Amino acid sequence: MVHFLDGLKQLLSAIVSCCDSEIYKQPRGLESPEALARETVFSVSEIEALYELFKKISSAVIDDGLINKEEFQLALFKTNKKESLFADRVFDLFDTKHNGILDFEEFARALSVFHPNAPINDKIEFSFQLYDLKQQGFIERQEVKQMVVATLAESGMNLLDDVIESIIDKTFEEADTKHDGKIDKEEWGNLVLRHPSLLKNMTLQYLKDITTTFPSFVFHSQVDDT
Amino acid sequence: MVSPGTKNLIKRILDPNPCTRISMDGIKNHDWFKQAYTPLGPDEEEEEDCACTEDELSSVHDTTPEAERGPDSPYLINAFQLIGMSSCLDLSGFFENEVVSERKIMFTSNHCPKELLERIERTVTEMGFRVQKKNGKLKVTLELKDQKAPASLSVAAQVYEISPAFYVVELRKTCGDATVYRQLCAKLSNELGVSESQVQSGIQTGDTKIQQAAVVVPHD
Repeated sequence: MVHFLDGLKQLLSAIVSCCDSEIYKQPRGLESPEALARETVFSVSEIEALYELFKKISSAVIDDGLINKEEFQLALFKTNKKESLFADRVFDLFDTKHNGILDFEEFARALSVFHPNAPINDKIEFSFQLYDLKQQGFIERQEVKQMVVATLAESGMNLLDDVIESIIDKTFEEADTKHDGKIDKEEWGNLVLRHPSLLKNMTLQYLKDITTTFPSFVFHSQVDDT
Repeated sequence: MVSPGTKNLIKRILDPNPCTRISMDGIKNHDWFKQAYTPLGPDEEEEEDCACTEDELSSVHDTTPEAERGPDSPYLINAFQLIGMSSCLDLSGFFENEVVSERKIMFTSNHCPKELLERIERTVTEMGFRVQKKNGKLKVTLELKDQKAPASLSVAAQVYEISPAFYVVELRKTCGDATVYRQLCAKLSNELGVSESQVQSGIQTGDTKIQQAAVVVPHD
């Protein structure tokens, strides 16, 4: 009888620990929206709404509460077949932990930079790192050419090599104030201040309305609206 | 004193039964609501929002070069502005259900911006669209007069100069029907974009000012 009870106890604790590990295997849900809200431009309700977007994207291929590269591409381009030097770069910049996968914290922190209210310095920093393809701390002429060619190709626009070279010449003439053939962070910052439209793609107006696009915070919010 | 129209609308909005309560579309189609109502286009909303943000951010949406301003001046862009137009750097995909190529089409042209904008205006007016000009951009709207719904297609057309003989035309759909949008883009790029045949003849004659093919025809 004692053995039977022991066995039963063991069986029960095995089941419980199994269930526990099921819970811990999946990243915990939205643990502390307040903490993330403090560290980003988002309000708590915006964080909660952003989490709904995150859940939608992260469950597209594997429902593990994390966004892998395929899910990232699917969400952006509606296809996982698009090879793009930019898409890889953007994903890498989101993936601050460098583990090939995005958790909600990385997702929220990266998107915070794209909020209309984010400080312009954050946008300047992010865009500089984006265009610094080889991550050498400066943007080289070759990198700019690569990006121009990629941009034209994706829209089916072809331009002669010398036309492309002249476009880049003109850009470097203006941007490369130190005349060293490269654009460093300081020169990039100055260029942006002269041409604010360079950061057009660093702002997503959608983020301002995110609580109306993903309104589940009304039902799931743990926090009082202030 | 509250008019009967107002009373009726309020009553229908405050209906406790969610099944019979009036929907947003119902409100927009209600007679009282439609009196003297001009729908705010998504583009206008965007510009208004910009006006409220800090100066440095609102100027993000101002693409006019400081030196030249005027309704017909081209937007001279540098390599980074061109790169920034890439659809792969556009994260709006997270929030839109359509692929970027269904919402934004670009093609190159040799025609000067003034001529481009005039010809676009002429073509779309012939197709039945309404055109509004603002800061060198064109806003093209198709209104279906026989239906009570607001504009079923709204497209913003903008010209950028990337080099003295090459201009990029960007046609961005701000809302509406994708099929009509594609037809519009195909027509414009066929008329105004640089054609394949011009490339071939250019190469054969060894002409140094070779015209490059750059027609993007949106496909299904």
